[in-house]
Amino acid sequence: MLLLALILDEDDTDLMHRVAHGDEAAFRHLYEKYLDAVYSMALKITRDPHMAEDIAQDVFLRLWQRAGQYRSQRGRVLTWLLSITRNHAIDRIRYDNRRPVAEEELDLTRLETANRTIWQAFEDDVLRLSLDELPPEQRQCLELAFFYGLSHSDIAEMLNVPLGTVKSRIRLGLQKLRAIYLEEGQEQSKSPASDV
Amino acid sequence: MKSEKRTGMRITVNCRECLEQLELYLVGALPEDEAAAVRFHLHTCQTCAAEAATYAPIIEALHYTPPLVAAPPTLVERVAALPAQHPRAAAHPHRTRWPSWNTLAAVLVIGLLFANIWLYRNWRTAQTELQQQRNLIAHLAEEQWRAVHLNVDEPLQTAPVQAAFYYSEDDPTAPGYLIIRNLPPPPAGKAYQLWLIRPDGVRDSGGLFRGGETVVLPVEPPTSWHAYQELGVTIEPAEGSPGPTGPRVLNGGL
Ligand SMILES: [Zn+2]
Repeated sequence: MLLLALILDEDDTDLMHRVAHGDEAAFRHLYEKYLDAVYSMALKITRDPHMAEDIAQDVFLRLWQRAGQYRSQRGRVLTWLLSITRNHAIDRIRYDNRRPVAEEELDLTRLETANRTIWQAFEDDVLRLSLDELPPEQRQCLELAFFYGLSHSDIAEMLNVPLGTVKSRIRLGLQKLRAIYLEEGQEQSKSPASDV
Repeated sequence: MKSEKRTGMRITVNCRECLEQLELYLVGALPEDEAAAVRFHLHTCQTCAAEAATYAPIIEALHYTPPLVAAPPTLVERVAALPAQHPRAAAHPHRTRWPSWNTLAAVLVIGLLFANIWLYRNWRTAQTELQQQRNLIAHLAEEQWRAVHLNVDEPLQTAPVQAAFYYSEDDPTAPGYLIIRNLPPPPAGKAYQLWLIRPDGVRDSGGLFRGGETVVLPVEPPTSWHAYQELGVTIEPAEGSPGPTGPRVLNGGL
């Protein structure tokens, strides 16, 4: 399903424009192309397949109802969808007051495609970034903030380390990624700078 | 009255503080008040914004690192069913509540047979606008819209005025909406004018409007809503002013 949509390779901005005008076929193309990615982001954050399904459905309902809010100059469609999904999923786990649980608790091995990351599924020019490049403690702090919405002090409390340590792990982690992928890794194709 | 609270919340940071917190801000590790201070700074300082921009491809790429998992067939079915369950207002603009409008229209048409056709057309336009307003307000009730309730200042305190401004947290460059209930008409020769107030006190005009039972004013942000700290409404000459001159009637912090 995903592959077919990729082969068709319709321009996303065009599809979004059509969805904004109520075109159901364009909506179908977009969900065939990106539903797996959106579900994966929701699952990564919630660790709960049922909640992840609800979130992915909400994200596509918003796409259907509000595609007109998308601004192509601010970045690619999938980034927009993943960013909405991330915010929505973090809000949900905060609302439920849930703590992130260990990776092993969710049996991802049952699911056939779990040995790839989202970027591996897309022939796109997003940076091929791997968090394995980071020391484990930097990666952990970065992921707890980015994917689970925890503040620096939440993380310090959870890991039982000083606040300053958490801050420097996050700073060094992100600086290292920038150094690897942008300053040294010139062979990597760069994506246009989006508005952060 | 809000500004005292805001200084307590460290609404401003300087360049050094901004750069110290930049990576934490970008991955979402700052508490909301500290994040707001960094966000404001980035909207007003090109140097720090340029530094933040060097991280944009990394932050984007972080979104693509989760393991890819196929969506379950049940989810695919649910998403496929969305267009049928949520027919688009834009695709069927005249469907909503049509029977009751139809009846009303029929009654009115008889009355208007000898009256002015122009009047009837105006009425139809007003009804469509009313429906559009209702649709918009229902839409604004949904979660990603951030509501800012505006305080009513002295000149309007005798009227039962309620006012709120809505903007999208997800897309702060998208138009926001000022919604006011029970706003009395402005004095003769005057209009209400909305001001968007930046952290440095500079005021940009957000548009002119008059009173009414329900006022809905779409407002296009010159840049982003994050560039503004407060909103105000003043009474100005009917053609508007380059800056506020008349009494303030509404105010609120963004
Ligand atoms: Zn600065």
